[in-house]
Amino acid sequence: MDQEARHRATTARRWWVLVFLIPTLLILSSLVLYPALRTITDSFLDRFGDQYIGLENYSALASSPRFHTAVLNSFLWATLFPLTVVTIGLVLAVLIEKVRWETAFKLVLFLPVAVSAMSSGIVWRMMLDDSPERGAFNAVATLSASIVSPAGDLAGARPTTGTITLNPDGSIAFPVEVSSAGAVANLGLIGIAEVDLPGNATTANPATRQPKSITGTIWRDAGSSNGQKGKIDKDEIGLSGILVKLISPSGSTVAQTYSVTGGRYAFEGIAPGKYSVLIPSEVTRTRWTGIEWLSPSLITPAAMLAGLWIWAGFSLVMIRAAMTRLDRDVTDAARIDGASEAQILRRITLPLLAPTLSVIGITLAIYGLKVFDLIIGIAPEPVQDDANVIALEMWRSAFTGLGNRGLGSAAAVIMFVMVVPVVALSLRSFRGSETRT
Amino acid sequence: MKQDHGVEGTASRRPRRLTEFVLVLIALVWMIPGFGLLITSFRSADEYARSGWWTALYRPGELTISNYVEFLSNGNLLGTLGSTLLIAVPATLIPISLATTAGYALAWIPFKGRKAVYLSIVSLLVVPFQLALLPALELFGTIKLSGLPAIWLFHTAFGLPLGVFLMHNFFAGIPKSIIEAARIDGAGEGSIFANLALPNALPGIASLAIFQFTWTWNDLLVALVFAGNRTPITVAIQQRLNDFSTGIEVIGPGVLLGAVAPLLLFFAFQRHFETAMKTGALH
Repeated sequence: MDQEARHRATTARRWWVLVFLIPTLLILSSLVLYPALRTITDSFLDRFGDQYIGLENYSALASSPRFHTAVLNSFLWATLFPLTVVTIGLVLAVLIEKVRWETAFKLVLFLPVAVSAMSSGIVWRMMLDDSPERGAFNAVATLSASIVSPAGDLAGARPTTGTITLNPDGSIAFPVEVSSAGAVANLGLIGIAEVDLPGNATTANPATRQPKSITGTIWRDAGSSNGQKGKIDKDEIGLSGILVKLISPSGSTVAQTYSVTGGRYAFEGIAPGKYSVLIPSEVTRTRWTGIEWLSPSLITPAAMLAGLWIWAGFSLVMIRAAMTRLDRDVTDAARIDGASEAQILRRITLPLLAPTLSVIGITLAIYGLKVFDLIIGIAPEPVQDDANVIALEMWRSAFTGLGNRGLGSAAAVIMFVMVVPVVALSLRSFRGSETRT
Repeated sequence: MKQDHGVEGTASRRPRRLTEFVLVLIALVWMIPGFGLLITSFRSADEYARSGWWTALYRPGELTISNYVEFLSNGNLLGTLGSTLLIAVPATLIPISLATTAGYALAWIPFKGRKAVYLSIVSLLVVPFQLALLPALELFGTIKLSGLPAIWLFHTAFGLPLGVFLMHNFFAGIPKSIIEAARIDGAGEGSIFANLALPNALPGIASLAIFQFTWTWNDLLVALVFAGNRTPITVAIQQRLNDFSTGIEVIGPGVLLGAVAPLLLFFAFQRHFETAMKTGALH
């Protein structure tokens, strides 16, 4: 090639560089670099972006409890969340290794990534609805709980008068002193749901005193229009089929029986002395209503659960891809030398996967610091303050209500400060894995 | 160890069964939310408020297509899907064309300061787009740009750092001898880029397309700030979230219809995407 031709080629190339790069550089400098720097200087200005007010926006944020929640939650999203997702991805990757339908499994777990984060949040808001009638999670949870520990026959019942005590465990006790003439212990209760009333409910039947016996009536001490508390009034309903125990002063059970129609029960042949008639706690045990995921204290874990649903597949697919790239010879050699599968995993596979795991973790940490749509989707308005994250706070201060430019800018700057170290880490491990492959 | 093999074989079959059972269970749990949404979208708001979607499994008579009929016959709602498409397609194609050309220049055309330019572009990955929202909005205001073009440009700007990074890596993987040979044959940079580099980077372009399209299609925040009256489906849904249980008639079909496009794209490009992942190029 002669001098002139080479010169021409270089000139042509220079033109191509300009054509190929100028649009990109123009857009990046005007829409990324300039606005970012502008936001940093704006964070020292007032709500209209007019007047310099020093660090006032930052001190306003520092003293706002809502912002504290946002920073704490964002921190959890950047640490706890990636850690959980990577761990679960790793466990699944190891489990799926020997299964033939690996591709189908990966597909099922990966699909949520394609759905918008807000939609995922909405889907999980429905799944985790507090009411067991509407939320699938609590429907399953309360159903299983009711099998393990069913609600009592008189769930939530409590005594009407002070002579009868309601113990902290929910049991109801009536202290009685029995003479040779016997004693009467009537247990008037309220707080009983209509559905718990006996099907063939009859009016309460007052018990009569009998020698050497404790007799009494268990009845619903309500329902009579002008009734008196602690008194069996006309039209009040007797509670049949209820377990009653007779407890000695030492605390041991002397006898137990069930109330019959009209609510009457009787312990016969009782030696004189002090006793206590007890309706045990399993009778008054209320139905467990499930976990209140969408309540202030659990809304962030609930959102992270939705995040896990979105990202576990990504984590699994990336880890599996890295595992298949690993050198089979090393693990095979170890297996021939008699290493156990657990040893191979811990000593060989995990160390070789470490760069991949950190790349996934960092990617998810960056996602976690920017999470926004997911919170909008899952958190009902009243608990949005508790689910608050830094990106949400930034949007709320800058764009909702009257809009506060300075404050919103300051929140964005703090978000930037949190993101920078994580991204710097990621660039380092990106470079690391680049030289590795 | 050899003599133990028979024993080990039967002993390890049981754990495998257990593993398979657990994995099937996990897969089912992963499918339930989507399935629940699907059923919910075929129930009325009254039914939604009254009982859980699973009751429809034993009372299929209560299922109705009225939500979809209403959604698809409502011009405004249907328009939001159109807006989403009008946002996402250009907001994917523009950054891809810019990222491929820039990535090629940075990988194969030697010039002074090339490495510095590449590093400055990639270092912009640290900027969360929230940091640019307010000044960008103001900037668009002064040049009287709003609605679709504003969203396109903003999405392009924040798709470029990753795009340039990915495409540069893909182009850099092309053997030097191929490019050199083309140059000696007298091919210009434009034709080398179009005929040699691009076809070799298809898996990378496909991955970038999936990333960028999914992101712009599903975006809420950028649209809230820039869209104006070009409301995409995400914003339409967000506006009904405050009245969740009556809004469910729109939310149900909206969320499902909104998920169709990214899923289709994912299935269409799945093979390219897997190739990209297997080669480790996405790390």
